[in-house]
Amino acid sequence: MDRFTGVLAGLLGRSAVLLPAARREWAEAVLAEMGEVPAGSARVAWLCGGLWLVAREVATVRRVIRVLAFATGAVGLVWIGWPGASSNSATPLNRVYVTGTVVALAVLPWVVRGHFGPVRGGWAPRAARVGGYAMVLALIAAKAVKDRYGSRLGAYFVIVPEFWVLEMVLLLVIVGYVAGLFILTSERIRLTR
Amino acid sequence: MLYALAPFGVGVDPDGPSLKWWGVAALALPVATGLLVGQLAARDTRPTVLTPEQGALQGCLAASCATATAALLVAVLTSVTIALFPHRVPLEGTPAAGGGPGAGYIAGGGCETCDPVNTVIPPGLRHDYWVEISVGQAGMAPLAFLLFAPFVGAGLGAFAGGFASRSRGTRGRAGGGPHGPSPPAPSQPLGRLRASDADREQVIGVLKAAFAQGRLTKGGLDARVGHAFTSQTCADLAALTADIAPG
Repeated sequence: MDRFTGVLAGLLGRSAVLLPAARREWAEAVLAEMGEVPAGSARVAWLCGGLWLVAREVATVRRVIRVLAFATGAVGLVWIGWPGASSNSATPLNRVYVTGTVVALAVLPWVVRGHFGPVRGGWAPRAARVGGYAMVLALIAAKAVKDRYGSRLGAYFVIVPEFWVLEMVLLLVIVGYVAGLFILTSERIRLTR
Repeated sequence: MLYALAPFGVGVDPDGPSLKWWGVAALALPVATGLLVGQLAARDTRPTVLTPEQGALQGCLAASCATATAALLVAVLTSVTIALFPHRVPLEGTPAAGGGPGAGYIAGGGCETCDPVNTVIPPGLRHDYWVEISVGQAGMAPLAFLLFAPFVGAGLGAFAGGFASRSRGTRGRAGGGPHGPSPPAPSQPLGRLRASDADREQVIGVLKAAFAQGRLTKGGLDARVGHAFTSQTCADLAALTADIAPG
């Protein structure tokens, strides 16, 4: 039971970072008061209550919807862009594009948030981010379909290293567009007086 | 080549008028955005007025964002159109596709995308190769423009924003005219706006002049000067001189 209690306490301590700054002290208070609770089932129930508190704060409906929406878009992009015959010379390029895009769109919000803060209040910045995500996902998916159609005779469409460089530059440009969108819609960037 | 309107029957002939209007729009959008932002910035009558350089910067940023967004939207529409309707893509070498080595070269077995270049395409695959190379190379212009769009927008927007800020600011400083509000005279406090030290000094000067003219007693002057130092808004300061005639 003591080991199980220790595991719960460690889980609660690590999961506290997922909470907003204003709520983090709730989890710290639960951990601090743990010693006052009698050991055994009472302490386990106490720690489970703390974990439920964290889960309830983290898994807000809006956040779940955002994560599900992104997951849907990413799955759709992989479903459209990933398949391809090995003889099709566009297949490896498409897979690099799909991987790079999904990773960039998943990581960029965290990176930008660390430097420029969360998204600015109001519906417009959030709508701009959603629109940007939708456009980038649509662009990469359409490009993958187009390139796959245009390279079925793979032996006659050899992708030389220079072409790979150009394609990677284009991918970086698209990621740069998304990063710029995130930065301009962040809380700490003030565009007007 | 732009294909977004091809499914709706709009021709994609590079010499046709529709593509030239796309080019005009690509240049007009950042200029119009910069002019609009510069006009709005110069119309701002708050005390800390933007300089023309700051108006140009705002025009630059707004036009860069607008051009980048438009370029991305055109790239998405073009790519999605080609992906959904590849059969509408003009074959390479035809006028609608913008020329190129085309049918003659490919019909002779030439391969543009092969390495080594001397590869000959078998006769049975030449038409398929022609179709595939046409689709593969279609719509590259909007994707390439993504690289330059923010910079084109920034340059044109900065020029237009600075021009609009200067021209409107000049008209404003020349006395307003029928379209612009005149800046308020320094002696007229702006109501609930926060008062500055210069405003307080000006009002204290009026109070001292009134005392010298005999309009205020010493006690009244001291009281009003004390209120002037603690006044937070221009309206508070105006109340201290409301019963004193100017001059």
